[in-house]
Parts: sequence; C-alpha cells; structure tokens
Amino acid sequence: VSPIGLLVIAAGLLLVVALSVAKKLVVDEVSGWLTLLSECLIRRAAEHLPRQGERYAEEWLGELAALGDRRLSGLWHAWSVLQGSRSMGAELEEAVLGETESSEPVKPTPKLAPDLERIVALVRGLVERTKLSEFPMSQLLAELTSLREEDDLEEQLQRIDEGFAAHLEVSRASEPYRRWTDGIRTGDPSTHPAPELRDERPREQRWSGLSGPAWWRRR
Amino acid sequence: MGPQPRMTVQTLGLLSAMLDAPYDTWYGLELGRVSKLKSGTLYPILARLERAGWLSSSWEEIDPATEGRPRRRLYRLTGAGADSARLAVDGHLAELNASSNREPRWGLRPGEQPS
Repeated sequence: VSPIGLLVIAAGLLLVVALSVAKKLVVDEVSGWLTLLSECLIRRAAEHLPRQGERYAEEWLGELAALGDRRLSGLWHAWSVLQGSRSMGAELEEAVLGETESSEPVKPTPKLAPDLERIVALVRGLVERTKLSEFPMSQLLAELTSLREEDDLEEQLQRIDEGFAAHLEVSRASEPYRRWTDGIRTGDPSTHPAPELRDERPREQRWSGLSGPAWWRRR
Repeated sequence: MGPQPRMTVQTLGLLSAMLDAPYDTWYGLELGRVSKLKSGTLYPILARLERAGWLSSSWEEIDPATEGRPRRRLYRLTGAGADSARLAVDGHLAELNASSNREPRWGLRPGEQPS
C-alpha cells in the first residue's frame, strides 16, 4: 500500500468517526428539542383549560414520559392534545363542574318571607306529628287561606296548631281508628276505613311485591 | 353515584375496552390507544364518568424526583361503575341485535351454526 493510500484510508476512518460522533450529537440535540417542543405544546394545550390546566398538564406530561425515547410519537401525542384542547376546554368544564353549574356564581336560595317561614314551621310540625294517611290536608289549606292580615299571625297559627292537636286526639281515640291500627298490627285488611282500598288477600300475598325478587320468595 | 353520564358510542367503546380488564388501572394514553379515541374526546369522557362515580382516578404513587419522570394519572372502574358499564354496554349490544333482526352472535354455543 502506497503512503497516499494509507493517508486516504486514515482520512476515511477519521471521517467515519467524525460523522458518527456528529450524528450522535445531532440526534441528541434533535431529541432534546423534540422533547422540549412536545412539553411546550402540552403546556400550551393546558392553557386552554383555565380551571383544570395544572392538573391536566401534569397528567399529559406523565403520559409523554411514558413514551420514553419515542420522541416523534411524543410530539404527535402532544400535537393531538393541543388540537383537542380547544374543544376540550368547555367540555371538561361541563364534565367536571356539572351541567347545572357554570362559571357564573351560584345564586343563593331566596330567603323566605318571615311570615311564610312561620307558616312553613307550623306545617312541618304538623307533618312530623301526624301520619300521612290521617293528615287532613284540605282542612289545613282551608285554615291557612283563612288567615287574616289584621290579626296577629302568631296567635292564629297557634290556634290552628291547637285545633289540629285536638282533632288528632279525638280521631285517635275513636273506635274506627283503634280498629284500624289494631288491624294494621294483626294484618287484618277488613279494618281498613276505606272499603274500596281494602285488600282481602292474606297478608303474605299482599306484601309479596316488597319481599324481594321471585327467585328469593320461591326458596 | 353522581348523575348518569351521557352514553355515546365513544363512551361505550371506552367502557367496553375497560371492561376487558375491569380491575386494571389505566392511564389516559393507554385508554386512548385501546379505545381509539382522540384526546379531545377521551378526557372529557373520563371526567364525565369520574363525576358520575363510574371511574375513580388517582396519581401514580411514585416520587417523580427518584423516578426521573412525572407521575401518571391512573383510572380504574369502580365496583358500581363496572356493573353500570356492563349494563350499558349489554343494553346497547342488545339494541343493536334487535335492530339488526338476527341471532346474537354470543347466543351461539361452540360449534353451533346460526340458523
């Protein structure tokens, strides 16, 4: 081999080494830039979500990291997140905060007028003391509509309350009421005060709908 | 449980993908891959399902400084969510079968030929 040939071979070897080093440097550089670009795109996408931005930025960056060395896939992922983030903003707000809530402040529940508050308290007290079936709703409405503005409201409400207490006392002491409540305890349907609502079937059949599914009742 | 989530084809696709491994935890990118949903569709659906109580999510329990990477957000079906999802997916498939007026594919036994 001539000296010139040796020189050419040496130069070639040097060139290969230089190229491989340069290639590695370029690849590292490009990879670094691609990662940075992907992260920028994700942060930009998160800016479209005013309330949830920080949380989703962290989530998407975590997913970007899951792609590891696949920088181009990462860039594609970041780009698609950015593309979707514009429409995602409103959708996420709605999904997270609910359809009824919005960025507008929630209006407080209007406060009841003081008089109405007292009437509501009276009705609530009556409902708590009486059973639904014996609650004389029409009578109560008649009493409430007869309230007079010129008289003291407190006194009128007290009168209604006492009237109902007396009514209940008499009603509960009556024979039909006693028979009915005894009938409920013993499961005797014939004691029901309303004949058209009586269910004459035996008790276990009457309540079968509440005893669980059919396969359970067959056991 | 929160309000019923809106049941779209994309939501059903996501749920059915998650029902393949109902006890697994998934992160968003994985879910996007298995359900073939774009991120603009995927994350609102995840948020909606989470709000309805069908999914729960939590941050991955790692120390980002030690691991050298950010935490991932992990999603999983809740017990009630898995039941509701199964009902929703089955109901949708039953509707599809009823509308296509043919025997359901899963109604055939091994080796049985559709009539």
